[in-house]
Amino acid sequence: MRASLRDAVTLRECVKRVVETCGDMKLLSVGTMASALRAGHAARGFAVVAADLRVTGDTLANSVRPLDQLADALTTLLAGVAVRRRRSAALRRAGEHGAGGDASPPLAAAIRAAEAHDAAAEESLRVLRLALAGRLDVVNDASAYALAAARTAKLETTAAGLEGQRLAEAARRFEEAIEGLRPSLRELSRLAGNLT
Amino acid sequence: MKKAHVIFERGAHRWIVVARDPERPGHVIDTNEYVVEHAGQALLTDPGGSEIFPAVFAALGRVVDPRTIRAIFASHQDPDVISSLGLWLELDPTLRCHASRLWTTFIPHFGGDGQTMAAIPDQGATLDLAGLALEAVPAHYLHSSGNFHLYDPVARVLFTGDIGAALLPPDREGLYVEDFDRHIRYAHAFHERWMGSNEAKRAWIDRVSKLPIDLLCPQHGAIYRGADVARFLQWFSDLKVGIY
Repeated sequence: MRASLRDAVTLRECVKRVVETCGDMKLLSVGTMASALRAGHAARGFAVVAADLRVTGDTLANSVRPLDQLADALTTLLAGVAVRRRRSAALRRAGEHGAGGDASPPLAAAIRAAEAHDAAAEESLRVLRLALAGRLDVVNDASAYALAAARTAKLETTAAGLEGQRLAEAARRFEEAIEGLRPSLRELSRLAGNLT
Repeated sequence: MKKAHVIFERGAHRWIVVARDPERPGHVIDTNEYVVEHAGQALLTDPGGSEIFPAVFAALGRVVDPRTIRAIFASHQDPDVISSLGLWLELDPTLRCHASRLWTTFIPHFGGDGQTMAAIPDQGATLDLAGLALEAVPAHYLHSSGNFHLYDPVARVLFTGDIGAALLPPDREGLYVEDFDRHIRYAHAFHERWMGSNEAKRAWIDRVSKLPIDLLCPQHGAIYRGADVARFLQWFSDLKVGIY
């Protein structure tokens, strides 16, 4: 296994950025919805689009939440691997000091047990990598939909009367946030793919 | 699962504790790990043993980027304090570990190289964390012969290693001491046996009584805050410890 503690930290920090951005987008969409409600009957069109942004913001925020848990599980797994690696390395070094460079039977058994742990950890890592990839697919779909919703909202501002400017601003910020999110998602996919 | 809690925050200056692990194996004593963050850099106190490293590392990473940790402070040399050193060094081999000069050739048995250890002289020292001056306060023979605590004069937080430690039963999960009289029962036997010298105890109390302290943070058990800090110092002053 090549994955290290540093990989876990890099991935987790990337997940933190994604989760934070999605949280901000959710707040933005809630704010837009509140503006629509305050505007009342005069801005019915605005309210429909704002509600769409709100649902989209919710969907995106919910879709990234499991990423946090997966990053947590990955960190715990790789920290445990780091502990076992140090033990395995010490056992192997001890084995090299045996007669003729061979480990004594009890030591050899301990080394085999450590290797079995390594194999189990590799399997856990494979499962986590698949789960991360699956979750990133869901997040990517949600972000693509959110981007489309933001662009639609921008188009609809032309017909939103006095509320149009506010909606246009909210939609623009929403779109910018998603555009800013997508490089982090690509980086996450790359990091997750490299976990071997 | 261990959890990280922010116990002090003012701008980019924070104290975070990773505390209480109800899922830890019963044969391993529970520990508190503290992180001081200031201006984008962090210092980790008594990072714990290698057995609990995965739990500490995962909990800490939820609120701090571990790559910002520049230094480790070891109050003394015990395994529950610093045996995870080699694992932290895997994340950053340039980390420096501050500890009593007595232990700078002992602690590297847990990991590190000739550059890892930074010796604290017996009289104490000031440790710089991105412009924040942290004081290594002598606490020798309480319980280790080379023992330091860490004082943050801005946050008014004193990390006290094993002093103030309480071996709490599993149902007492609170982060802070809520009922001093009930709490201190769990600290009594520990201090009576582990703290080796009444003379050392009096010297330490004289020293820390002069410091303004809002939070007294031990490595085991709950944190003392507000009036409970003075209560604890008085209680400790009255307690006969070690060989007497």
